[in-house]
Amino acid sequence: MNESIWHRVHEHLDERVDPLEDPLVQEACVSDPEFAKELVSLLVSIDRLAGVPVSSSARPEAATKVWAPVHHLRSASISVAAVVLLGLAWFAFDTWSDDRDRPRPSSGPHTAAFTIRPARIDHARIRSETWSGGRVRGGERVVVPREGSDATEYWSRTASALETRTESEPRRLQVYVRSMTRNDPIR
Amino acid sequence: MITLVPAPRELDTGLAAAQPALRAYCARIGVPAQDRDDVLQEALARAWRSRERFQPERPLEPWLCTIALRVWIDLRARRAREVRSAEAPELAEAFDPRAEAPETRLDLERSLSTLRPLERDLLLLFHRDGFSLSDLADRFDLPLNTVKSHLRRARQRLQGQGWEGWL
Repeated sequence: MNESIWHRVHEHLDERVDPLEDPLVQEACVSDPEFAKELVSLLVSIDRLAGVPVSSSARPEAATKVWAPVHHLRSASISVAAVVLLGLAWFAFDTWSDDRDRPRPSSGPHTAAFTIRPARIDHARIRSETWSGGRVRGGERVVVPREGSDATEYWSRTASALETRTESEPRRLQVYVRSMTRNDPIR
Repeated sequence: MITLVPAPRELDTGLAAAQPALRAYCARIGVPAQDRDDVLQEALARAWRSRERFQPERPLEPWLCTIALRVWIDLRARRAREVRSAEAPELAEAFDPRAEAPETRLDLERSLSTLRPLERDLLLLFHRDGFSLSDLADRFDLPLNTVKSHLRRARQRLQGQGWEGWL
């Protein structure tokens, strides 16, 4: 009986209802003074919680920060794994691309290699189907400017054009301007 | 203009007759001897003020006992909040009506520190800050019933912390 009454008390407290409004709880209080004493202690203690300084407990944001990683362990692991994989993919691509774009002795005076780092251009997105100025390497767009063009100027024009095209395009492909060789014309 | 509500005859006669039983009940629920007269007086006064809600078909004694219980809870809560500042207690209360004497607040915080961190946070966020159960379930990414279980365990642990010694 006591257990079921306590269950009712906690249910009322969960609903922010005064347990003493419940006739069954009232009856229990009258018939079992020990229960009444414990209930008084509980209600007084809950009342006193209002006086606990905020600084002595975790605020919701802090609590979320503390506990979210624990409870979001699975999603956190996935996120970490995704970041690591992306990093590895980028490293592999960068290494492969550097090897590919490195000037070869046979290229002669017509080869001028330069690199614009992704940090400078990662705001640009491109729709690969509509952009004819480059090649697709492993899902990434590689834009190759014409020989002799100024890389910065070329990139400015390209980026603004790409941003215009991308506004209504949900698909995102990062654009890299990697190299300029006479064998890789834009069009 | 004050309108006096006539008291039912049962209440009129019942209040006087119930006093010994009510005093005994106060003793059983732990009201100290020095406080019993105050609790009894206030309980009878509240019963009289609430006479409109009195239902003659229901027994008087449980109704009065419940009122006495509320009076005792209120008295304890009020005492716990008392600011024992000899200089200007009325000022301290005006600034923070829920302020507590430092020693009782320390006791409370010590008891809270015995709770598990999650239980403690849930308890304070629910009872002190007024977050709903569903809010807490969302924020902590827990099922609603798990939040309820944690809250219940936290209350039970607080209940067993020996609150009697605080007052």
